[in-house]
Amino acid sequence: MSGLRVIEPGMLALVQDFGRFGWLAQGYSRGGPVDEHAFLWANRLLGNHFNAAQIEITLGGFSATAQASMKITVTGADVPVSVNGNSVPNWQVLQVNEGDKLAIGYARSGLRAYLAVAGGWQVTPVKGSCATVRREQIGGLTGHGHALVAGDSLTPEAVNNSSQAVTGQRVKPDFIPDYTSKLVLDVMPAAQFQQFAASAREVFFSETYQVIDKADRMGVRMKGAAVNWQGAGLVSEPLPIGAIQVPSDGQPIIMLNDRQTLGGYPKLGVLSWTAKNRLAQATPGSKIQFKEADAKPLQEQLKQVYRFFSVACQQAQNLRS
Amino acid sequence: MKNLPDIQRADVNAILLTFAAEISLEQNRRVHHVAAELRANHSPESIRSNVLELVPAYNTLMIYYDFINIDEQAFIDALKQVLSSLSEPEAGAAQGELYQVGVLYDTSVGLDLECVARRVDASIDDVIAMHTKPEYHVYAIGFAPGFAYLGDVDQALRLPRLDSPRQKVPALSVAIAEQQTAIYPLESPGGWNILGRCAQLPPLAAGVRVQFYSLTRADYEQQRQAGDK
Repeated sequence: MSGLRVIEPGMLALVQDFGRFGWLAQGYSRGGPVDEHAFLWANRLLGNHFNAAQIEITLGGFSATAQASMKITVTGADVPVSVNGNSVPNWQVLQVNEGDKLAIGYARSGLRAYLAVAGGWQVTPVKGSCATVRREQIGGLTGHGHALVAGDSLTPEAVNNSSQAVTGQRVKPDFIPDYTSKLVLDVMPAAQFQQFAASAREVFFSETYQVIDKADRMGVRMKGAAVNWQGAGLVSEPLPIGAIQVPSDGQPIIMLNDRQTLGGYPKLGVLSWTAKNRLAQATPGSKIQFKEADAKPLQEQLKQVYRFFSVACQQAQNLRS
Repeated sequence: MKNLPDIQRADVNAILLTFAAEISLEQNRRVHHVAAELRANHSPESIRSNVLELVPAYNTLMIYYDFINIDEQAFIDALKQVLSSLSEPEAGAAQGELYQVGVLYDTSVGLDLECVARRVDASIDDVIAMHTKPEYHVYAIGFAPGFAYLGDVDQALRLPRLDSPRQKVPALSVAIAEQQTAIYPLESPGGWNILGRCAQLPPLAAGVRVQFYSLTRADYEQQRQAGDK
Protein backbone atom coordinates (compact mmCIF):
# COMPACT_ATOMS: atom_id res chain seq x y z
CA MET A 1 0.00 0.00 0.00
CA SER A 2 2.28 2.72 -1.19
CA GLY A 3 0.65 4.41 -4.13
CA LEU A 4 -2.44 6.14 -5.30
CA ARG A 5 -5.87 4.65 -4.75
CA VAL A 6 -8.53 5.66 -7.24
CA ILE A 7 -11.75 6.95 -5.66
CA GLU A 8 -13.46 8.02 -8.89
CA PRO A 9 -11.95 7.40 -12.32
CA GLY A 10 -14.20 9.96 -14.05
CA MET A 11 -15.39 9.34 -17.57
CA LEU A 12 -12.23 7.62 -18.76
CA ALA A 13 -8.85 7.19 -17.08
CA LEU A 14 -6.29 5.08 -18.91
CA VAL A 15 -2.74 4.05 -18.15
CA GLN A 16 -0.52 5.13 -21.06
CA ASP A 17 3.19 4.99 -21.67
CA PHE A 18 4.64 6.37 -24.93
CA GLY A 19 3.06 3.51 -26.84
CA ARG A 20 3.39 -0.05 -28.03
CA PHE A 21 5.86 -0.05 -30.91
CA GLY A 22 6.78 -2.94 -33.14
CA TRP A 23 3.42 -4.74 -33.37
CA LEU A 24 1.63 -3.03 -36.25
CA ALA A 25 2.30 -6.00 -38.53
CA GLN A 26 0.40 -8.16 -36.03
CA GLY A 27 -2.52 -5.74 -36.03
CA TYR A 28 -1.80 -3.93 -32.75
CA SER A 29 -2.10 -0.18 -32.81
CA ARG A 30 0.37 2.02 -30.97
CA GLY A 31 -1.87 3.40 -28.22
CA GLY A 32 -0.01 5.87 -26.01
CA PRO A 33 -0.77 9.52 -25.29
CA VAL A 34 -2.93 11.21 -27.90
CA ASP A 35 -1.43 14.52 -26.73
CA GLU A 36 2.29 13.74 -26.77
CA HIS A 37 3.18 17.33 -25.97
CA ALA A 38 1.44 17.34 -22.59
CA PHE A 39 2.64 13.80 -21.83
CA LEU A 40 6.30 14.51 -22.59
CA TRP A 41 6.27 17.71 -20.54
CA ALA A 42 4.91 15.83 -17.53
CA ASN A 43 7.69 13.27 -17.70
CA ARG A 44 10.32 15.92 -18.25
CA LEU A 45 9.14 18.00 -15.29
CA LEU A 46 9.46 14.97 -13.04
CA GLY A 47 12.83 13.88 -14.39
CA ASN A 48 11.28 10.70 -15.76
CA HIS A 49 12.25 8.63 -18.76
CA PHE A 50 10.15 9.80 -21.75
CA ASN A 51 8.33 6.45 -21.76
CA ALA A 52 7.31 6.48 -18.06
CA ALA A 53 3.66 5.50 -17.60
CA GLN A 54 1.06 8.16 -16.76
CA ILE A 55 -2.71 8.32 -16.40
CA GLU A 56 -4.58 9.92 -19.29
CA ILE A 57 -7.78 11.45 -17.92
CA THR A 58 -10.47 12.37 -20.42
CA LEU A 59 -12.71 15.30 -19.44
CA GLY A 60 -11.91 15.04 -15.70
CA GLY A 61 -13.88 13.98 -12.66
CA PHE A 62 -10.99 11.94 -11.29
CA SER A 63 -10.15 11.66 -7.61
CA ALA A 64 -7.73 9.53 -5.62
CA THR A 65 -6.10 9.15 -2.22
CA ALA A 66 -2.33 9.17 -1.79
CA GLN A 67 -1.12 6.25 0.30
CA ALA A 68 2.44 7.53 0.45
CA SER A 69 4.25 10.76 -0.23
CA MET A 70 5.15 11.34 -3.84
CA LYS A 71 5.80 14.01 -6.41
CA ILE A 72 3.23 14.38 -9.15
CA THR A 73 2.18 16.76 -11.89
CA VAL A 74 -0.93 17.33 -14.00
CA THR A 75 -0.50 18.63 -17.56
CA GLY A 76 -2.72 18.83 -20.62
CA ALA A 77 -6.31 20.04 -20.49
CA ASP A 78 -7.02 22.98 -18.21
CA VAL A 79 -8.57 21.02 -15.34
CA PRO A 80 -9.01 22.34 -11.80
CA VAL A 81 -6.65 20.37 -9.54
CA SER A 82 -6.91 20.32 -5.78
CA VAL A 83 -5.17 18.60 -2.89
CA ASN A 84 -7.39 18.26 0.19
CA GLY A 85 -9.70 20.84 -1.32
CA ASN A 86 -6.97 23.44 -1.86
CA SER A 87 -6.46 24.51 -5.44
CA VAL A 88 -2.99 23.75 -6.81
CA PRO A 89 -1.38 24.65 -10.15
CA ASN A 90 -1.19 22.49 -13.29
CA TRP A 91 2.03 21.99 -15.29
CA GLN A 92 3.99 22.11 -12.03
CA VAL A 93 5.63 19.56 -9.72
CA LEU A 94 3.45 19.01 -6.65
CA GLN A 95 4.24 17.20 -3.43
CA VAL A 96 1.44 15.03 -2.05
CA ASN A 97 1.64 13.16 1.24
CA GLU A 98 0.11 10.05 2.70
CA GLY A 99 -3.62 10.54 3.22
CA ASP A 100 -3.92 13.50 0.86
CA LYS A 101 -6.93 13.57 -1.43
CA LEU A 102 -6.20 14.58 -4.99
CA ALA A 103 -9.11 15.79 -7.09
CA ILE A 104 -9.15 16.66 -10.77
CA GLY A 105 -12.31 18.46 -11.83
CA TYR A 106 -13.84 18.85 -15.27
CA ALA A 107 -11.81 20.54 -17.99
CA ARG A 108 -12.41 24.27 -18.53
CA SER A 109 -10.65 23.90 -21.87
CA GLY A 110 -9.00 21.01 -23.61
CA LEU A 111 -10.10 17.39 -23.29
CA ARG A 112 -7.34 15.24 -21.82
CA ALA A 113 -5.17 15.72 -18.75
CA TYR A 114 -2.09 13.70 -17.85
CA LEU A 115 -1.40 12.68 -14.24
CA ALA A 116 2.23 11.69 -13.85
CA VAL A 117 4.30 10.65 -10.84
CA ALA A 118 8.06 10.84 -10.29
CA GLY A 119 9.42 7.52 -11.53
CA GLY A 120 6.27 6.74 -13.50
CA TRP A 121 3.45 4.38 -12.54
CA GLN A 122 4.54 0.80 -12.08
CA VAL A 123 2.55 -1.30 -14.54
CA THR A 124 3.53 -4.64 -16.06
CA PRO A 125 4.04 -4.22 -19.78
CA VAL A 126 2.34 -6.45 -22.34
CA LYS A 127 4.13 -6.73 -25.68
CA GLY A 128 6.67 -4.22 -24.46
CA SER A 129 4.24 -1.53 -23.30
CA CYS A 130 1.57 -0.78 -20.74
CA ALA A 131 -0.35 1.49 -23.12
CA THR A 132 -4.07 0.75 -22.77
CA VAL A 133 -5.95 0.00 -26.00
CA ARG A 134 -9.44 -1.03 -24.93
CA ARG A 135 -10.56 -2.24 -28.34
CA GLU A 136 -7.59 -4.61 -28.48
CA GLN A 137 -8.00 -5.74 -24.87
CA ILE A 138 -4.37 -5.01 -24.12
CA GLY A 139 -2.37 -2.94 -21.64
CA GLY A 140 -3.32 -1.04 -18.50
CA LEU A 141 -3.24 -2.28 -14.91
CA THR A 142 -4.76 -5.67 -15.69
CA GLY A 143 -2.93 -6.13 -18.99
CA HIS A 144 -6.30 -6.67 -20.69
CA GLY A 145 -7.05 -3.14 -21.81
CA HIS A 146 -9.29 -2.03 -18.96
CA ALA A 147 -9.78 1.59 -18.00
CA LEU A 148 -9.08 2.42 -14.34
CA VAL A 149 -11.94 1.78 -11.93
CA ALA A 150 -12.67 2.91 -8.38
CA GLY A 151 -10.49 0.98 -5.95
CA ASP A 152 -7.56 0.48 -8.35
CA SER A 153 -4.17 1.17 -6.78
CA LEU A 154 -1.18 2.42 -8.70
CA THR A 155 2.34 2.39 -7.29
CA PRO A 156 5.13 4.67 -8.45
CA GLU A 157 8.37 3.10 -9.60
CA ALA A 158 11.12 3.56 -7.02
CA VAL A 159 13.00 6.84 -7.41
CA ASN A 160 16.26 7.64 -5.71
CA ASN A 161 16.64 10.73 -3.57
CA SER A 162 18.67 12.52 -6.17
CA SER A 163 15.62 12.48 -8.47
CA GLN A 164 15.52 15.62 -10.54
CA ALA A 165 11.93 16.42 -9.64
CA VAL A 166 11.84 19.64 -7.62
CA THR A 167 8.56 20.62 -6.02
CA GLY A 168 7.32 23.86 -7.51
CA GLN A 169 9.23 23.46 -10.75
CA ARG A 170 6.92 24.36 -13.60
CA VAL A 171 6.61 24.63 -17.35
CA LYS A 172 7.08 28.18 -18.62
CA PRO A 173 3.69 29.66 -19.56
CA ASP A 174 4.94 30.21 -23.14
CA PHE A 175 5.01 26.45 -23.65
CA ILE A 176 1.53 25.81 -22.30
CA PRO A 177 -1.00 25.78 -25.15
CA ASP A 178 -4.14 27.86 -24.96
CA TYR A 179 -6.67 25.18 -25.78
CA THR A 180 -9.34 27.80 -26.43
CA SER A 181 -7.43 29.38 -29.30
CA LYS A 182 -8.58 28.92 -32.88
CA LEU A 183 -7.39 25.69 -34.40
CA VAL A 184 -5.45 25.95 -37.64
CA LEU A 185 -3.94 22.53 -38.18
CA ASP A 186 -0.91 21.89 -40.37
CA VAL A 187 -1.39 19.11 -42.88
CA MET A 188 1.45 17.42 -44.68
CA PRO A 189 0.16 16.21 -48.06
CA ALA A 190 0.68 12.47 -48.53
CA ALA A 191 -0.97 9.30 -49.80
CA GLN A 192 -3.77 10.08 -52.31
CA PHE A 193 -3.43 13.88 -51.99
CA GLN A 194 -2.52 14.37 -55.65
CA GLN A 195 -5.36 12.12 -56.78
CA PHE A 196 -7.99 14.36 -55.21
CA ALA A 197 -9.32 16.95 -57.67
CA ALA A 198 -7.81 20.40 -57.18
CA SER A 199 -11.31 21.66 -56.38
CA ALA A 200 -11.69 19.07 -53.61
CA ARG A 201 -8.36 20.07 -52.06
CA GLU A 202 -9.38 23.69 -52.26
CA VAL A 203 -12.59 22.94 -50.38
CA PHE A 204 -10.63 21.14 -47.68
CA PHE A 205 -8.15 23.97 -47.15
CA SER A 206 -10.59 26.85 -47.39
CA GLU A 207 -13.62 25.65 -45.46
CA THR A 208 -14.05 25.50 -41.69
CA TYR A 209 -14.80 22.11 -40.15
CA GLN A 210 -16.29 21.21 -36.85
CA VAL A 211 -15.35 18.33 -34.54
CA ILE A 212 -18.43 16.18 -33.90
CA ASP A 213 -19.07 14.00 -30.90
CA LYS A 214 -18.04 10.83 -32.68
CA ALA A 215 -14.52 11.28 -31.40
CA ASP A 216 -12.42 8.89 -29.39
CA ARG A 217 -8.85 7.65 -29.18
CA MET A 218 -9.29 5.86 -32.50
CA GLY A 219 -10.29 8.87 -34.54
CA VAL A 220 -12.02 12.23 -34.69
CA ARG A 221 -14.84 12.87 -37.13
CA MET A 222 -15.44 16.24 -38.73
CA LYS A 223 -18.45 17.90 -40.24
CA GLY A 224 -18.28 20.53 -42.95
CA ALA A 225 -18.11 20.98 -46.68
CA ALA A 226 -17.77 17.58 -48.34
CA VAL A 227 -14.41 16.73 -49.89
CA ASN A 228 -15.20 14.74 -53.00
CA TRP A 229 -13.20 11.74 -54.08
CA GLN A 230 -13.77 10.71 -57.65
CA GLY A 231 -11.10 8.04 -57.83
CA ALA A 232 -11.64 4.31 -57.68
CA GLY A 233 -11.92 2.30 -54.49
CA LEU A 234 -8.60 1.59 -52.82
CA VAL A 235 -7.01 -1.59 -51.59
CA SER A 236 -6.54 -1.28 -47.80
CA GLU A 237 -3.10 0.02 -46.92
CA PRO A 238 -1.17 0.86 -43.74
CA LEU A 239 -2.66 3.82 -41.95
CA PRO A 240 -0.44 6.33 -40.13
CA ILE A 241 -1.55 8.13 -36.96
CA GLY A 242 -2.78 11.60 -37.88
CA ALA A 243 -3.96 10.44 -41.31
CA ILE A 244 -6.92 12.37 -42.73
CA GLN A 245 -9.27 9.82 -44.25
CA VAL A 246 -12.14 10.80 -46.51
CA PRO A 247 -15.00 8.29 -46.58
CA SER A 248 -17.64 8.38 -49.29
CA ASP A 249 -19.72 11.07 -47.56
CA GLY A 250 -16.74 13.44 -47.88
CA GLN A 251 -16.59 14.22 -44.13
CA PRO A 252 -12.98 13.83 -42.96
CA ILE A 253 -11.99 11.45 -40.17
CA ILE A 254 -8.61 12.03 -38.54
CA MET A 255 -6.97 8.99 -37.05
CA LEU A 256 -5.50 9.05 -33.54
CA ASN A 257 -3.31 6.60 -31.60
CA ASP A 258 -5.76 3.68 -31.36
CA ARG A 259 -6.50 3.65 -35.11
CA GLN A 260 -6.82 0.35 -36.93
CA THR A 261 -3.53 -0.56 -38.60
CA LEU A 262 -4.91 -0.79 -42.15
CA GLY A 263 -7.48 1.42 -43.82
CA GLY A 264 -9.15 1.61 -47.21
CA TYR A 265 -10.41 5.19 -47.49
CA PRO A 266 -8.51 7.75 -49.56
CA LYS A 267 -6.29 10.08 -47.53
CA LEU A 268 -5.35 13.71 -48.02
CA GLY A 269 -2.29 13.55 -45.83
CA VAL A 270 -1.28 13.54 -42.20
CA LEU A 271 -1.40 16.14 -39.44
CA SER A 272 1.82 17.58 -38.10
CA TRP A 273 2.87 16.54 -34.59
CA THR A 274 1.68 19.82 -33.10
CA ALA A 275 -1.60 19.66 -35.01
CA LYS A 276 -2.31 16.12 -33.84
CA ASN A 277 -1.67 17.08 -30.22
CA ARG A 278 -4.00 20.04 -30.52
CA LEU A 279 -6.71 17.96 -32.17
CA ALA A 280 -6.45 15.50 -29.28
CA GLN A 281 -7.52 18.36 -27.00
CA ALA A 282 -10.39 19.57 -29.20
CA THR A 283 -13.86 19.11 -27.76
CA PRO A 284 -16.92 18.43 -29.93
CA GLY A 285 -18.03 21.65 -31.57
CA SER A 286 -14.47 22.99 -31.94
CA LYS A 287 -13.94 24.76 -35.25
CA ILE A 288 -10.99 23.70 -37.35
CA GLN A 289 -9.20 24.97 -40.39
CA PHE A 290 -6.52 23.10 -42.25
CA LYS A 291 -3.35 24.54 -43.70
CA GLU A 292 -1.03 22.85 -46.18
CA ALA A 293 2.50 22.54 -44.82
CA ASP A 294 5.86 21.41 -46.20
CA ALA A 295 7.30 18.18 -44.90
CA LYS A 296 10.89 19.32 -44.40
CA PRO A 297 10.30 21.96 -41.71
CA LEU A 298 7.89 19.62 -39.92
CA GLN A 299 10.51 16.88 -39.93
CA GLU A 300 13.13 19.25 -38.54
CA GLN A 301 10.74 20.56 -35.92
CA LEU A 302 9.85 17.09 -34.67
CA LYS A 303 13.52 16.09 -34.60
CA GLN A 304 14.17 19.02 -32.30
CA VAL A 305 11.16 18.24 -30.14
CA TYR A 306 12.21 14.61 -29.70
CA ARG A 307 15.79 15.61 -28.93
CA PHE A 308 14.56 18.12 -26.34
CA PHE A 309 12.42 15.48 -24.62
CA SER A 310 15.08 12.75 -25.07
CA VAL A 311 12.70 10.59 -27.07
CA ALA A 312 14.56 7.72 -28.68
CA CYS A 313 13.11 5.84 -31.64
CA GLN A 314 13.23 2.14 -30.98
CA GLN A 315 13.64 -0.65 -33.45
CA ALA A 316 10.91 -3.27 -33.18
CA GLN A 317 12.34 -6.07 -31.07
CA ASN A 318 10.76 -8.66 -33.32
CA LEU A 319 12.04 -7.08 -36.54
CA ARG A 320 14.67 -9.76 -37.08
CA SER A 321 13.06 -12.67 -35.26
CA MET B 1 13.72 -5.52 -59.02
CA LYS B 2 12.92 -4.38 -62.51
CA ASN B 3 9.70 -2.62 -61.73
CA LEU B 4 10.49 -0.67 -58.61
CA PRO B 5 7.53 0.05 -56.37
CA ASP B 6 6.37 3.61 -56.07
CA ILE B 7 8.16 5.27 -53.12
CA GLN B 8 6.25 7.95 -51.22
CA ARG B 9 6.45 9.75 -47.92
CA ALA B 10 3.59 8.54 -45.71
CA ASP B 11 4.51 10.54 -42.61
CA VAL B 12 7.49 12.47 -41.22
CA ASN B 13 8.98 9.13 -40.16
CA ALA B 14 7.46 6.70 -42.65
CA ILE B 15 7.79 5.72 -46.29
CA LEU B 16 5.14 3.76 -48.18
CA LEU B 17 6.09 1.43 -51.00
CA THR B 18 3.21 0.76 -53.41
CA PHE B 19 3.42 -2.16 -55.79
CA ALA B 20 0.86 -2.63 -58.59
CA ALA B 21 -2.57 -1.48 -57.40
CA GLU B 22 -4.33 -4.84 -57.25
CA ILE B 23 -5.02 -7.70 -54.89
CA SER B 24 -2.89 -10.50 -56.22
CA LEU B 25 -0.67 -13.17 -54.81
CA GLU B 26 2.13 -12.05 -57.09
CA GLN B 27 2.19 -8.46 -55.82
CA ASN B 28 1.78 -9.61 -52.24
CA ARG B 29 4.78 -11.93 -52.67
CA ARG B 30 6.83 -8.95 -53.80
CA VAL B 31 5.71 -7.04 -50.67
CA HIS B 32 6.87 -9.81 -48.36
CA HIS B 33 10.01 -10.40 -50.40
CA VAL B 34 11.05 -6.77 -49.90
CA ALA B 35 10.05 -6.87 -46.22
CA ALA B 36 12.24 -9.95 -45.70
CA GLU B 37 15.16 -8.25 -47.42
CA LEU B 38 14.82 -5.16 -45.23
CA ARG B 39 14.79 -7.36 -42.13
CA ALA B 40 17.84 -9.32 -43.23
CA ASN B 41 21.11 -8.87 -41.42
CA HIS B 42 22.98 -8.50 -44.70
CA SER B 43 21.16 -5.29 -45.63
CA PRO B 44 23.35 -2.15 -45.71
CA GLU B 45 24.07 -0.44 -42.41
CA SER B 46 21.93 2.62 -43.28
CA ILE B 47 18.96 0.30 -43.69
CA ARG B 48 19.75 -2.18 -40.94
CA SER B 49 20.08 0.40 -38.20
CA ASN B 50 17.36 2.79 -39.33
CA VAL B 51 14.41 0.58 -40.24
CA LEU B 52 12.27 0.57 -37.11
CA GLU B 53 9.13 -1.26 -38.10
CA LEU B 54 7.56 -2.77 -41.23
CA VAL B 55 3.86 -3.02 -42.00
CA PRO B 56 3.05 -5.21 -45.00
CA ALA B 57 -0.42 -5.05 -46.54
CA TYR B 58 -1.84 -6.43 -49.82
CA ASN B 59 0.24 -4.42 -52.29
CA THR B 60 1.91 -1.91 -50.00
CA LEU B 61 4.69 -1.89 -47.42
CA MET B 62 4.99 0.81 -44.80
CA ILE B 63 8.49 1.42 -43.49
CA TYR B 64 8.91 3.39 -40.27
CA TYR B 65 12.49 4.61 -39.97
CA ASP B 66 14.59 6.53 -37.48
CA PHE B 67 14.07 10.01 -38.87
CA ILE B 68 16.14 11.49 -36.04
CA ASN B 69 19.17 9.53 -37.14
CA ILE B 70 18.90 9.60 -40.93
CA ASP B 71 17.74 12.22 -43.38
CA GLU B 72 14.71 11.23 -45.45
CA GLN B 73 16.47 11.56 -48.80
CA ALA B 74 19.46 9.53 -47.61
CA PHE B 75 17.12 6.83 -46.40
CA ILE B 76 15.17 6.77 -49.67
CA ASP B 77 18.42 6.57 -51.64
CA ALA B 78 19.58 3.60 -49.57
CA LEU B 79 16.19 2.01 -50.01
CA LYS B 80 16.30 2.43 -53.79
CA GLN B 81 19.70 0.75 -53.87
CA VAL B 82 18.43 -2.24 -51.95
CA LEU B 83 15.36 -2.50 -54.19
CA SER B 84 17.22 -2.23 -57.47
CA SER B 85 19.76 -4.87 -56.52
CA LEU B 86 17.05 -7.22 -55.26
CA SER B 87 15.86 -10.05 -57.47
CA GLU B 88 12.17 -10.68 -58.04
CA PRO B 89 10.67 -13.40 -55.83
CA GLU B 90 10.62 -16.72 -57.60
CA ALA B 91 7.19 -17.59 -58.88
CA GLY B 92 5.75 -20.38 -56.79
CA ALA B 93 8.69 -20.15 -54.41
CA ALA B 94 8.33 -21.85 -51.04
CA GLN B 95 5.95 -19.89 -48.86
CA GLY B 96 5.64 -19.53 -45.14
CA GLU B 97 4.58 -22.21 -42.74
CA LEU B 98 1.32 -24.07 -43.45
CA TYR B 99 -1.22 -24.27 -40.60
CA GLN B 100 -4.00 -26.83 -40.66
CA VAL B 101 -6.94 -25.28 -38.86
CA GLY B 102 -9.91 -27.36 -37.75
CA VAL B 103 -13.33 -25.72 -38.05
CA LEU B 104 -16.70 -26.79 -36.69
CA TYR B 105 -18.94 -26.05 -39.69
CA ASP B 106 -22.30 -26.23 -38.01
CA THR B 107 -25.32 -23.95 -38.01
CA SER B 108 -25.04 -23.57 -34.21
CA VAL B 109 -21.81 -21.58 -34.66
CA GLY B 110 -21.82 -20.95 -38.40
CA LEU B 111 -24.46 -18.28 -38.12
CA ASP B 112 -24.62 -17.66 -41.88
CA LEU B 113 -23.87 -21.18 -43.06
CA GLU B 114 -27.41 -21.96 -44.23
CA CYS B 115 -27.84 -18.57 -45.80
CA VAL B 116 -24.51 -18.81 -47.62
CA ALA B 117 -25.41 -22.24 -48.97
CA ARG B 118 -28.73 -20.86 -50.23
CA ARG B 119 -27.12 -17.82 -51.81
CA VAL B 120 -24.47 -19.77 -53.70
CA ASP B 121 -27.05 -22.41 -54.57
CA ALA B 122 -25.20 -25.32 -53.00
CA SER B 123 -25.58 -27.72 -50.10
CA ILE B 124 -23.89 -27.05 -46.75
CA ASP B 125 -21.54 -29.93 -47.53
CA ASP B 126 -20.61 -28.25 -50.80
CA VAL B 127 -19.90 -25.00 -48.98
CA ILE B 128 -17.63 -26.87 -46.55
CA ALA B 129 -15.87 -28.58 -49.44
CA MET B 130 -15.33 -25.27 -51.23
CA HIS B 131 -14.03 -23.56 -48.10
CA THR B 132 -11.66 -26.36 -47.06
CA LYS B 133 -10.22 -26.95 -50.53
CA PRO B 134 -7.83 -24.00 -51.11
CA GLU B 135 -4.55 -23.39 -49.40
CA TYR B 136 -5.03 -19.81 -48.27
CA HIS B 137 -2.34 -17.21 -48.15
CA VAL B 138 -2.13 -14.54 -45.41
CA TYR B 139 -2.01 -11.32 -47.40
CA ALA B 140 -1.92 -9.02 -44.40
CA ILE B 141 -2.70 -8.69 -40.72
CA GLY B 142 -4.74 -5.71 -39.68
CA PHE B 143 -8.07 -4.28 -38.51
CA ALA B 144 -7.51 -5.96 -35.14
CA PRO B 145 -4.69 -7.88 -33.45
CA GLY B 146 -4.14 -11.18 -35.20
CA PHE B 147 -6.91 -10.58 -37.77
CA ALA B 148 -5.49 -12.21 -40.91
CA TYR B 149 -6.80 -11.41 -44.37
CA LEU B 150 -6.71 -14.82 -46.08
CA GLY B 151 -7.28 -15.47 -49.75
CA ASP B 152 -8.35 -16.46 -52.24
CA VAL B 153 -11.79 -17.87 -51.67
CA ASP B 154 -13.17 -20.16 -54.40
CA GLN B 155 -14.90 -18.11 -57.12
CA ALA B 156 -18.18 -19.97 -56.54
CA LEU B 157 -18.17 -19.08 -52.82
CA ARG B 158 -17.59 -15.33 -53.13
CA LEU B 159 -20.29 -13.23 -51.47
CA PRO B 160 -20.46 -9.60 -50.43
CA ARG B 161 -20.42 -8.53 -46.79
CA LEU B 162 -23.68 -8.55 -44.83
CA ASP B 163 -25.90 -5.54 -45.51
CA SER B 164 -25.62 -4.54 -41.92
CA PRO B 165 -22.69 -5.69 -39.77
CA ARG B 166 -23.28 -7.69 -36.60
CA GLN B 167 -22.62 -5.83 -33.36
CA LYS B 168 -20.85 -8.87 -31.96
CA VAL B 169 -19.17 -11.62 -33.89
CA PRO B 170 -18.07 -14.36 -31.46
CA ALA B 171 -14.32 -14.89 -31.08
CA LEU B 172 -12.84 -17.62 -33.35
CA SER B 173 -15.65 -17.32 -35.89
CA VAL B 174 -14.51 -18.30 -39.37
CA ALA B 175 -16.01 -16.06 -42.03
CA ILE B 176 -15.91 -15.07 -45.70
CA ALA B 177 -16.32 -11.83 -47.65
CA GLU B 178 -15.65 -11.50 -51.39
CA GLN B 179 -12.33 -13.20 -52.14
CA GLN B 180 -11.26 -13.17 -48.50
CA THR B 181 -11.71 -15.40 -45.50
CA ALA B 182 -10.63 -14.82 -41.88
CA ILE B 183 -10.83 -15.95 -38.29
CA TYR B 184 -12.07 -13.31 -35.85
CA PRO B 185 -9.44 -13.39 -33.07
CA LEU B 186 -11.59 -11.53 -30.52
CA GLU B 187 -15.27 -10.83 -30.17
CA SER B 188 -15.83 -7.75 -32.27
CA PRO B 189 -18.29 -6.10 -34.62
CA GLY B 190 -18.11 -7.53 -38.13
CA GLY B 191 -19.92 -7.86 -41.40
CA TRP B 192 -18.50 -11.05 -42.88
CA ASN B 193 -20.52 -14.23 -43.49
CA ILE B 194 -19.85 -16.69 -40.67
CA LEU B 195 -19.40 -20.32 -41.70
CA GLY B 196 -18.19 -21.90 -38.47
CA ARG B 197 -15.84 -21.66 -35.56
CA CYS B 198 -12.36 -22.93 -34.91
CA ALA B 199 -11.15 -24.13 -31.53
CA GLN B 200 -7.84 -22.33 -31.41
CA LEU B 201 -6.26 -19.36 -33.10
CA PRO B 202 -3.11 -20.30 -35.01
CA PRO B 203 -0.22 -17.81 -34.76
CA LEU B 204 -0.86 -16.20 -38.12
CA ALA B 205 1.55 -13.77 -39.69
CA ALA B 206 1.62 -12.25 -43.14
CA GLY B 207 3.05 -14.72 -45.63
CA VAL B 208 2.07 -17.94 -43.86
CA ARG B 209 -0.52 -20.32 -45.29
CA VAL B 210 -3.68 -21.82 -43.88
CA GLN B 211 -5.80 -24.77 -44.84
CA PHE B 212 -9.08 -25.39 -43.07
CA TYR B 213 -10.50 -28.83 -42.36
CA SER B 214 -13.87 -29.87 -41.02
CA LEU B 215 -14.11 -30.98 -37.37
CA THR B 216 -16.72 -33.18 -35.76
CA ARG B 217 -18.27 -31.64 -32.66
CA ALA B 218 -16.40 -34.12 -30.47
CA ASP B 219 -13.06 -33.18 -32.05
CA TYR B 220 -13.93 -29.51 -31.78
CA GLU B 221 -14.69 -29.85 -28.05
CA GLN B 222 -11.50 -31.82 -27.54
CA GLN B 223 -9.36 -29.22 -29.32
CA ARG B 224 -11.05 -26.47 -27.38
CA GLN B 225 -10.31 -28.13 -24.06
CA ALA B 226 -6.74 -28.82 -25.12
CA GLY B 227 -6.42 -25.13 -25.97
CA ASP B 228 -7.61 -24.06 -22.54
CA LYS B 229 -4.86 -25.98 -20.80
